[in-house]
Amino acid sequence: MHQSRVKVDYLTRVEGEGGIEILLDEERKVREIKVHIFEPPRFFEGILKGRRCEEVPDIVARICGICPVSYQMAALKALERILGIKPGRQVRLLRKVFALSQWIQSHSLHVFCLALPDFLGYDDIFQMAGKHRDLVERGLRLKKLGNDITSMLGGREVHPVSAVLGGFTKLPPRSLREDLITQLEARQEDAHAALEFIAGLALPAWEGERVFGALSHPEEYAIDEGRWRTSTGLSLAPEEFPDYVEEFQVSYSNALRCRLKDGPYYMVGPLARVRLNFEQLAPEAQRAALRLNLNFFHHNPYHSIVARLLEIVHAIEACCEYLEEAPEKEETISYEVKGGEAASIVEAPRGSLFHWYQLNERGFVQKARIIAPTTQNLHRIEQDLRELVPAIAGEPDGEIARSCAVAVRNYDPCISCATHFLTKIFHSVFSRPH
Amino acid sequence: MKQKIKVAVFKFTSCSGCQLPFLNMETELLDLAEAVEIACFAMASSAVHPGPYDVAFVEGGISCARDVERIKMVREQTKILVAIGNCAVHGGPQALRNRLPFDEVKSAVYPQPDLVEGYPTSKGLAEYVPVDGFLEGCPVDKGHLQDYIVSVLQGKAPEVSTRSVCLECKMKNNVCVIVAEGVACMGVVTSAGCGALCPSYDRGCYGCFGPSADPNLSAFSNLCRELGLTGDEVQRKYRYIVSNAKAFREEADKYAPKPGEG
Repeated sequence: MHQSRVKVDYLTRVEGEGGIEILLDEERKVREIKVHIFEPPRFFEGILKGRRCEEVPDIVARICGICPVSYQMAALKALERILGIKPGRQVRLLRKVFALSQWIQSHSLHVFCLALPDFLGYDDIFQMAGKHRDLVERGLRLKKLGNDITSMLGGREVHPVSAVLGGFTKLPPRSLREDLITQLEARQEDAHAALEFIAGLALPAWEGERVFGALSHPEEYAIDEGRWRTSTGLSLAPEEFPDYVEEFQVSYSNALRCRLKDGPYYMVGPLARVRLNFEQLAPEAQRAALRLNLNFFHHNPYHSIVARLLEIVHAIEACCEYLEEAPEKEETISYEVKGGEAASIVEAPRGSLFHWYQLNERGFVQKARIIAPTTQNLHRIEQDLRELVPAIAGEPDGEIARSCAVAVRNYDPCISCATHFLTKIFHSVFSRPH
Repeated sequence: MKQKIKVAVFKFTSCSGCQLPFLNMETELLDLAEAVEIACFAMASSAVHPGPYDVAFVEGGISCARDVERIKMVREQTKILVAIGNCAVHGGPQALRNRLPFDEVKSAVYPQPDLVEGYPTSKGLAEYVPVDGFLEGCPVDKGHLQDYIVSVLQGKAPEVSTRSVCLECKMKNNVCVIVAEGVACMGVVTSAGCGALCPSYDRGCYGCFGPSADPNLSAFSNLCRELGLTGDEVQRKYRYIVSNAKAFREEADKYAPKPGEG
């Protein structure tokens, strides 16, 4: 046999531009595996320098068209800590609904439009709709539900406009909120039916072990409050995160990647959250997991798709609860601009999202640092391929390429997010190849 | 049977927020897939068919040599090339870097700046290839995308609005935030298409659909000054989400050409 190079030139059904390159030697032993990210950098942290704090949410939304709400929430949390703004219960709860609506939208997009065709043997949702019309329609209804709630609270689905320091510029009246609850309840059947279907899929097996990381909170399934925990026992306040997580650069990628300082590889995202925070899931989601015999205490990354669906079931129930609990009375927040620095972590659909800002005394950004979930997962994704390929190296090149694309896609990578955070590269390390 | 039109969707330097609206057409998506042939749409499908394409919707700005090479290939393969959204039309939010010295930006950013390729500027597609249609917005409006496809299917010239957000706002009977609250709302100089979204949500328009046709920017700048904005605040209104649109760029230069916070 010859040495061979297996390539995925352009990953499809992912957000952004990336590829995979695998070099196998004469004996089909893996010589090299690279996940290329050729998405051009957009220098967001550079752009943010010199902008006023009120402008940050509009700008960071543009980092990602799929999870703009997460960026807005993370920025607002960090900036509000600097400015000493403490939003009341109404805003805190409605922000959770806002964030969860985006989980519903983004998870439905990934499950039905991007990932599921892999497991059912189709190129896309359009083909899949031929034999699985009901399932596809359920998925699109769920996706629309997420988008409708985001629009109701934020004005539009992509780059919403109402989230500002202290709260929302305008909130829907109580009657519309009740309408939302009705819509949410009506879609729970779709979520359960889809979960049951997904739980029955024959997903690929996995042997290796892995470390998981996610925000955790004792009283709720963490979205935007709590400490960042790992399955190996780390428990960090947001500002401690950079002390334990190190970003580094490799020559073949425009995206930075992350490793833990002790034991480098870790995974963020729905599987990590369900595993670390199972007990905080809404009762209905926990019951569904028990009824369907779902087990998340293993290390198989392919079960991410099940975790995503379970989080949709959870999000629907949690949104209803928060909408019911959120006080009607509008809170007015006033603040004075001042300098300082603060960090935040929120759970974006794809995993933990870290923001840090330093403001001068007039409220202008001096420095910003943003670490996206995909930046954190990239190192683990490449390691997944290193563990996967030896087992399938005997297969034809095309089949290896296909399996690797499925393994990468499984993380729901958001490549645009991962290539925008380069101003803080001075923290990075170039040596220590893994 | 009549051959279906071949539609392609491409992404350049951007956030995917302008191709996502195709997939956000939840209720129409399957009908759309019936009505046209989705020949190439990498974010949605692994079935990637080569050109030529009847219509290509392109999101994203041009910010590196690879982008230039690709957009030229897309142009060669495409009858109607439509730039969708702020990045493809004007260069996007990342065009804020255009006026900064890139060497400084790069070396301030990277210990090894050579590892990262890129132009010092992000620009719209039309700076590099002829473009047949422009749909404004950050993000583009999915209704505009639908209308465009329907027009092509019916063999009609797509209608592009030349109105401003201000007019949409009046039609919605919103209370004017400039008059009532003294907010420097950019709706008077911004392209319509969002349905006067920000004023409907009690905030001023921040211009994310780019300049309207023939905007009276000096009058708007004067209004901003009357409302108490400093020169620096006026220029930052233009140098925001759609900073590289020619009209906004030129008006901003009149106020604070110097980079930095002012």
